[in-house]
Amino acid sequence: MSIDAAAGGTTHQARSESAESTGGSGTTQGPLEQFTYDDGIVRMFAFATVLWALVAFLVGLLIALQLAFPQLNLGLEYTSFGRLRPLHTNAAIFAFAGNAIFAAVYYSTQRLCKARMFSDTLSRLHFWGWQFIIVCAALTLPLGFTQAKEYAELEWPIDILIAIVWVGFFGVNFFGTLVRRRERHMYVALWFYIATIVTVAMLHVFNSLVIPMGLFKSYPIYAGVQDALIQWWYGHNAVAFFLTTPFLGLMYYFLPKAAERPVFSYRLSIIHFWSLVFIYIWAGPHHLHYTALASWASTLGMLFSVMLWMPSWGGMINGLLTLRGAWHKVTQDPVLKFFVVGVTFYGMSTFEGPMLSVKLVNSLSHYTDWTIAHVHAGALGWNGFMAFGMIYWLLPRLFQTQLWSKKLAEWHFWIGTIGILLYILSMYAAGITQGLMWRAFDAQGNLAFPDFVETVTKLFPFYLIRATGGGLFLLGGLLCMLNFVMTWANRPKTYEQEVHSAPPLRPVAVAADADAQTPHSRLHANTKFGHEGDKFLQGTWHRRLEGKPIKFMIWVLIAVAIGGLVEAVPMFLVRSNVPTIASVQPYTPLELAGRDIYIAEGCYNCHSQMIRPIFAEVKRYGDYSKPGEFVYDHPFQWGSRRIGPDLAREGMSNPNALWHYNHFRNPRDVNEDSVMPAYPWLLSDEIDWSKIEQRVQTMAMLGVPYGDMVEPGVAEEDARLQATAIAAEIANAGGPPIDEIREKKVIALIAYIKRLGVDLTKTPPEGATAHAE
Amino acid sequence: MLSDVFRDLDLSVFPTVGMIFFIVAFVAISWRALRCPRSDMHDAASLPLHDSDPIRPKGD
Repeated sequence: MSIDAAAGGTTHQARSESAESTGGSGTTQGPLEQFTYDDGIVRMFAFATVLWALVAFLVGLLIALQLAFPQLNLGLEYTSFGRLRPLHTNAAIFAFAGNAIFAAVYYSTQRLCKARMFSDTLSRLHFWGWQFIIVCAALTLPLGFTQAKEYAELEWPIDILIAIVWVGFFGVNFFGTLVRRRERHMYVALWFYIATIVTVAMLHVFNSLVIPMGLFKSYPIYAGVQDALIQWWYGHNAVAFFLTTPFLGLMYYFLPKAAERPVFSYRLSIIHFWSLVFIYIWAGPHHLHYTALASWASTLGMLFSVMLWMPSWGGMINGLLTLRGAWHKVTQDPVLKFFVVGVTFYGMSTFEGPMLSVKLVNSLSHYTDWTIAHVHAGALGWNGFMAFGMIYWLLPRLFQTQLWSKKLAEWHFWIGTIGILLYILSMYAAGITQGLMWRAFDAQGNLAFPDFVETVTKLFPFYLIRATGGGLFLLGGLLCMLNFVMTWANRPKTYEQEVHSAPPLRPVAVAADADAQTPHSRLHANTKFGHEGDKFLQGTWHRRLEGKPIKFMIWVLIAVAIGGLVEAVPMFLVRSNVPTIASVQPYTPLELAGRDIYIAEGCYNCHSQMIRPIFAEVKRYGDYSKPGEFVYDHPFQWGSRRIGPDLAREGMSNPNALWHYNHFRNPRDVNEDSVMPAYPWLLSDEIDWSKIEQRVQTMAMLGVPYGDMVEPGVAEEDARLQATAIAAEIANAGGPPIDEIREKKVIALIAYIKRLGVDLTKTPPEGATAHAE
Repeated sequence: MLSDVFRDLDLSVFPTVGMIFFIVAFVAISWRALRCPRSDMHDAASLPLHDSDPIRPKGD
């Protein structure tokens, strides 16, 4: 039986009848309309939240253990770290947090608007469409279908589906409800929902602009530096507008409900909202400090990240002070416990985020587990606990019975809290340890830990503690599911549909208080400018805006668009931001095929391709990375984490094809301490030669200068020749015979790896030009 | 043409321009928030508390 099913339950359509009323909706008299809320959709999203939470936590635990025990992928390509890590992040963000957001929005919007959702059909299409997207992600990511952009890995057909479900079903349904609301003022939680819907749509569309090459493969229209800027504009703001603003909306609605008192300061919430949406969008480039991105852009990102601290803490303070005079309830109520710790973690994360954006701190933290600790403090502490707090508050109301076990909810809280602490403390220790080891020098001025794997094995105990913490958090999630199912089982045979009533919202022009809402100049001066200025200063413009959802949405769009435009437009138009290098040439057809294997296996989840201009990095990896090296990289592969070493100069530092062949077969054969998974399937699976030409033609369409290579048959012939040459190199060095390996995927991947970084040492081909203004 | 315009711009002013944008918006919003009557703020803040979904006894 479905969670939504209310045995014998009925759904009443809103109807109107004439009556006198003095409702609290901003109108004084009018016909009362009666209506019911659609709680069935909230039940569905609430159940999906807990179900997908378990999936996300379980996959997270598995990949955490794989870092200590790489054999735990069981030798299967579908369960390797590189393929499962995107599944974990997508499940946590879009499945767990996403469904929690929708449950919160559908429950609170109806009540704040005094209106049933605009369309029950759209609500159901939204629910099933979103679950279908999640299932598609769960199937395609382990199969290696990915765009290789963090938190935006899903391939283009799923991207289109996301846009349809988000805008066409969710957005239309939400704004339709706002338009049909019976409450004049749009409560601040609704503002955060508006910002979420508008901004996520904008981010998703612009970051997903690709040229498809078949149903499951595409290449972004951006390359290198520009692709990186757009991706982290998206990536950072996915955190901002998917994991922050909707959860702040959730906080502003559910925390006062649970505490049974209004939010501490509504004035502060207004400042909090506008400051946050205006500032957040600028902060993305702080993910690219010391990279090939122009310095002005990352400095801009840093500046706004530091400024972001103010509104973030304004929100945290507003949340915590809402409990003024009600702290005694926290000891009794698991819901408030979850909320208090959740908001506290919000404050911690939003202090740490600006701190990590400061270049000096970032130079130590970036690519290490410090970042992993930071995001999990936010994801588990803030998103996780706010979502679980909301679920526990909703359960008795949605299923019209008591929560099955308050004690179990208390256990969930304490187990989850201990789990988070074990997780983040171990990752802080691991991150700082690794960062310091990377930059340590001995007395002779050499790297103290020249073998990268030394800095990985040192983290082994921390990884075990992290896995224990993750396991406890998963256990908490299982307790929540048990409580959910048992509460559902105790539901009444028929859900009682409470009928609410409120007068309809009439246009301001005919409302009784319309005159009061229209500002009049208090000045006696004759200048029109003076009168208009005085009306503006009275502040009623914003009050009116708070009642107009479409205008409000447009202003939010303007606020979030400014930051993106100021950063992106110069980056795309000013050539000096991406000076080209004459010796950097397009990848060969075989290298392109190898690059796609690198992407499909998710190698970017563990390896960066970006050497920062930091002495220890240049000493370890070679010359620092230049913007011009990446002009043909669709997509960029800079990565954000170094579980393995940087590969930007791998072609120069380790061109031995046989070493790479053996390394892919079993990394422990060449380095006994390696935690990299083995890739035996690459040694048996064959290269898809039929796609070689199509891949080159797609790249040419994106502006990569392939010349005659796009002619029929040329690319494949070139690829076969290069594959034979690499196979011969391996065979001559004592590896397997040429005929046994030259058709295998591993040869294409080795071709790509051997190419990394070598162009800088080459003589530019005749006629090649470069520019740097 | 746009490319020429942006090439001639001093990009180091962008953080300053961004800061000015923010300050203007921040002052305007703060002004609105601080000017609003206390009763309006109280009414708005109380909106989530207007409705109540009672918790029914187990098995009811």
